[in-house]
Amino acid sequence: MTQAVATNDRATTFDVAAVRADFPILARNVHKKPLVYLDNAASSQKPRQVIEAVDQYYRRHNANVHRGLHTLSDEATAAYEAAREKVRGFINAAEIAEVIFTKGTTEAINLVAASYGRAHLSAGDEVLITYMEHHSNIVPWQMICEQTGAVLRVCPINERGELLLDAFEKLLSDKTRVVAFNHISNALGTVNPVKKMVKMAHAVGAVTVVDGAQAVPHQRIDVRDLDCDFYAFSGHKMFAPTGIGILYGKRYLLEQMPPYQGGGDMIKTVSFEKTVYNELPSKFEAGTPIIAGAVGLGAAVDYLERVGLDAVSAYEHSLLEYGDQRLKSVPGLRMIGDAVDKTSVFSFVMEGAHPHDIGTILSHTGVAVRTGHHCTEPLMKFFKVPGTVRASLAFYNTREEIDQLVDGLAKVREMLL
Amino acid sequence: MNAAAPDLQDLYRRTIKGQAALFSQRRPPAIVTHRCEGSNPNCGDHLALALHLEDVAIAALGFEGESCLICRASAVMMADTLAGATVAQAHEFSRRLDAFLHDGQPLPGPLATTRCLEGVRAYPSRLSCALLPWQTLTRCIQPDPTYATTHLEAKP
Repeated sequence: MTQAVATNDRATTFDVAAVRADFPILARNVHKKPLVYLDNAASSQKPRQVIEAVDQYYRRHNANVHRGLHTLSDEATAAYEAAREKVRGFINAAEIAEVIFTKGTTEAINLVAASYGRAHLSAGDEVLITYMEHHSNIVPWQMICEQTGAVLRVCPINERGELLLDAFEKLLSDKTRVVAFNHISNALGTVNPVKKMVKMAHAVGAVTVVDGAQAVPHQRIDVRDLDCDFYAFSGHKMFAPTGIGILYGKRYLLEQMPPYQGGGDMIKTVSFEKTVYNELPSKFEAGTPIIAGAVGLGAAVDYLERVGLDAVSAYEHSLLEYGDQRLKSVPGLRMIGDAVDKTSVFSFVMEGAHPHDIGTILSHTGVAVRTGHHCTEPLMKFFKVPGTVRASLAFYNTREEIDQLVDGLAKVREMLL
Repeated sequence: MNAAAPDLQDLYRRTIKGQAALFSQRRPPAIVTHRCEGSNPNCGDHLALALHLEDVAIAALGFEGESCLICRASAVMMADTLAGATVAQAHEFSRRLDAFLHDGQPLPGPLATTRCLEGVRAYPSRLSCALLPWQTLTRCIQPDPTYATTHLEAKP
């Protein structure tokens, strides 16, 4: 199952069968049908290399980190910190002090909102987000605005699901302190012009917080090239375990910020009179971290580097084009989000069929999709739909699987319409 | 689970679809004494329930809102079953349907039409759709009505 794709000016091939063989779960059946997993924007599957790394960690090295003097603790610490270095290289951060382990994107954004927001926002200041944000990039900012008296502004989008950059520019002012937006929309697949937006935000002196949860599994990320101030993402959407994520932040900003949580590991010394906080990145990692998750994330980085993100992007783009053409031929199907620059997400509704009913019928054919509002209720209201069906791809998906999705939708029509 | 899964076509075509088609005919009654809204954040189902309560009896009830076929079918069956029932019976029937759908407990006679929802048991994420109308109603007839939600947390 080698599929030919074009990358830039040269044609190459992507060995889908080989990568699929790395993901044990893809061999299982659901409702007696081969699993077609198209819910990757919610959570991706794990290759055996990640599963084995976590397994080996617990079998051979498990201990607490940064604490004991014994061999296992040394090994656990080395594995944990090696994962941090892998992530640093993966996103091209300048140093490991700028790579904070979190539970995931949500915690990373909450960390910035609570810590940076409390220290830097006051009444009359503005936080700018966009209409296409996930709830996790809306609610933390609402909360901190409520606490500080800052005002939340929202940049509109067009009917294709693209940001209106003119409006974005007009909403920026000397009152804007923080600009938070996603790299890629989880509900639409729209790819935002991050570098350009960062530059515009910096021009008014605002800091930028990028929700990169949907971008890291699909394209190479260079935080220094983007020049963003913060970049948040989750391990479980990039083939690593759940419960681990990353907050990248520029050192000078992280140093200005108070700790997010207090506890072990984030301190140098503690007395009842005064506590001296630890250096970066430990200052933001209170308590025993998700060590096995970090090890798994490191293994996922190794895996993605081996497969090659450029090859992944090119292959997924070919799937996107194929799927777009196939799905748009389905009678009554309306695509929600049709941005010019988009990644492999198909969000759609079907005339006369509720997304949840479609999801159940597809599941019965072995096809796993997400249905509902995708934690983007304001976006669904903008498109005047209660929710959508979302098929989201990863590099282990195939054209044949897209065909199975289309066949499943024919069954939906047969049963419901 | 797979072996026990009923024929999905059966679930939808023969029963649910027919009941759900009647949803638009179960509009809010002319006299409304109680209103309550319910939602299912997991899928976006939303029901606005309007109730005409005479003393402790349900004189009439109806709905507005946007929801899936299973939710609409369940709402229609509830409206038909509970017309003329007392508040105490409404609570009891709601509890019995919940026990039937979750644990396969027997259904009382007046709830016989809801047996067609049995197939939903094989799709645990859809139980909340079937139960939303009933949970909305029971909150509506509580002394202090609250907003009904069948899931406390939505997944990303």
